[in-house]
Amino acid sequence: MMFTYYLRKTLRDKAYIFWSLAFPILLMTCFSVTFMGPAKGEVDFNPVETTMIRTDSGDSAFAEEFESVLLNLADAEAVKNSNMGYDHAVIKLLEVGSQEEAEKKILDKDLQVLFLVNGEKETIDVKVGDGTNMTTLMVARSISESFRRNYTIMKDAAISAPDRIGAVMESLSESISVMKPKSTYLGDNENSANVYLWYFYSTIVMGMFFNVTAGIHTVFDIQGDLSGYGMRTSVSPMKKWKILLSAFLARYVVACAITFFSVTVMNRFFDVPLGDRLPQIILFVLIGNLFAMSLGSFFGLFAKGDENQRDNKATALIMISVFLSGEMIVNLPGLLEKYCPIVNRINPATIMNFAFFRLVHYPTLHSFWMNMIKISLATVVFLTISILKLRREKYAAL
Amino acid sequence: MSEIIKVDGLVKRYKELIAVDNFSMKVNEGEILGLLGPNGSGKSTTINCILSLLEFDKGTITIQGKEMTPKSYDIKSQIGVVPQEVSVFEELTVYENIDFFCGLYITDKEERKKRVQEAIDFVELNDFKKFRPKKLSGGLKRRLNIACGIAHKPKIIFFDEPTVAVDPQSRNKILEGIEQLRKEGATIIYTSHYMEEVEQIADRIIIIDKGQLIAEGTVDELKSMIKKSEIIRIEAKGISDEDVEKIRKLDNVFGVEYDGKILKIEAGNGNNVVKVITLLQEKGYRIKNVYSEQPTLNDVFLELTGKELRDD
Repeated sequence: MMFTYYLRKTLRDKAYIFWSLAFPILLMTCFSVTFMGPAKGEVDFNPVETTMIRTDSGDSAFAEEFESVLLNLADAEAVKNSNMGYDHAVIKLLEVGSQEEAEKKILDKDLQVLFLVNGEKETIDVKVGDGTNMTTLMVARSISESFRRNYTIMKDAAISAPDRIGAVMESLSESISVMKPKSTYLGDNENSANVYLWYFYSTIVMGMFFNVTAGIHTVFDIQGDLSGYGMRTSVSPMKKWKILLSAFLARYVVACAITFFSVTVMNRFFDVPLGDRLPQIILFVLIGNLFAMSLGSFFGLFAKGDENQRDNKATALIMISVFLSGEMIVNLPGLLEKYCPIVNRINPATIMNFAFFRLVHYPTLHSFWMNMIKISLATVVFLTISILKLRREKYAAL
Repeated sequence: MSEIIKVDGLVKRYKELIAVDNFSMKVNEGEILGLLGPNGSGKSTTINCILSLLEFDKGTITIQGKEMTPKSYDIKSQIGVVPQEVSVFEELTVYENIDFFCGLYITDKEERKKRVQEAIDFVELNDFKKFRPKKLSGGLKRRLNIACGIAHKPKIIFFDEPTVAVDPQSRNKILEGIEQLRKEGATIIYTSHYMEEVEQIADRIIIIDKGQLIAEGTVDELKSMIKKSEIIRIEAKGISDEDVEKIRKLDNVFGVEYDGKILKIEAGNGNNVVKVITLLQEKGYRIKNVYSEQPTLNDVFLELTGKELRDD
């Protein structure tokens, strides 16, 4: 009975339905009209202009291996023969004399990515220019992250099974592939390609994040010190966990259904690729909505103001998070990566956007799982604190 | 009548502020108890402590002889609450709201259906069953608020200022409804700062101020606690200062004012009107009209606390 009523209540909440369903679909329609144009189709990207500068002093297997990986990625034949799915090189390796010269070239837009490699410390710093597009950023990050991750395996293999080094190298090359060949890109050049997709994925994440208000409404429905109806439920003989579970689940079901619907519309109606990892996409939606509702519950319990004020504050917070993830300015995560990378690491919308993008476009799921683990941990923290607070049945003040 | 609620030595502090100060009271089964006091006097705090919604610092609260705690589900099932604010879901219809809150007490669908309909009949919202609350007037919303609190037919009902911002017609309907609930066997605790309402429906009244019990008793008992029992206004011209002074010296007269037309006398118990009129007639004054006002609960409150009860 309670579940059904909470379900009805949620479905009849016009503001909620607008922000979590209608608004994202309207936004996707706008993006589609703006970016689609007549050039819709499969367009590939050009090799990324890259250089590598060593900052160490001498011989280093780490730097040498990284250089050989870059040479492979710059070799069109090697790439064609790999499983990466491209018929051209991933990068264009440029010869640059010094770090200063490379940095100047980046500023002059003659170079897109600079890898600063220190073999002694086994570090790779990635430098990109202002306004770097998402494809370039993804390629650069993918190369450095994959290499770092696989180098240890390679080293171990070199010691324990030198005869297997070839196989490891091949595996490494596969990991470094940056895009799946079937990705759909739009527009005449690479700049508009991933921008388009990024906007769509970001919009889905934004729709999910609007469920913070569902979390706020859940706690208001049952918490006696927050609302009159919360007081009514607190005075009733119904056990609080039953009411909490009904209220939360009803909203969670609606939230997930809305996101699945939006994702389907995005894929079917706007032709935005989703890849072939359906279980992971389902998991992404389930975790994303759970995170948003747990954040909402936390916010509802600890923020100040009445229900509307808390809704507004939470929505503002979500909008900032979504904005920083590149919903309006697609280069923003790139700029933040350069000047303030911590924001990208802790901003939930950016984490979710990257997770979605990587889920669809990366050949491996390592980065996706890492992002999902981050979001899941945050969800557990918010949920635990909220449940502990919600279990309380007597209040200091009403 | 047996005692159904007992509050003993209740103390509730909000940091430095003592909201309820060593407050004790009893509620008898089947009575309407009026809890009267100005805004901020501690009425709602007391009710929330009784309902086990608020932590309190000291004291004991028993309902039907058992200590009331948040887990007293058997006691809670017999309690109905009508909060001060209209506390219903805007997204649900009148029927659905009542059904939802009734469902917190009654799980049997058929039984609930019957009770919900009875509650709708009781508050006369039959024509508005499918309306959402936002389409109801203030008075109708209040009635819905009441229906949500009483549909499960509780034995003990707490009404916390149920008539705030309600038009006189709806107010009367609400008061008649409360009277009806009592006739059907419910015990009612009614908090208000409207003294006329409390005076009209309560069998017994507790006056509370600054969290303390100021006085308790029936309306007559409370009025008999104060010296002043009557205000007499006599329309008569030309009464001399000497005769005004004579009236002032009569027994049980506490104050006399005369503006040349109206003689206002504050008097205590006793047949004061007759005494004054006799004196004036003997002196040959022509009396046009005589008015007598009985003391109100405000007078009781004023005399006991030195301030007005009505603050709005």
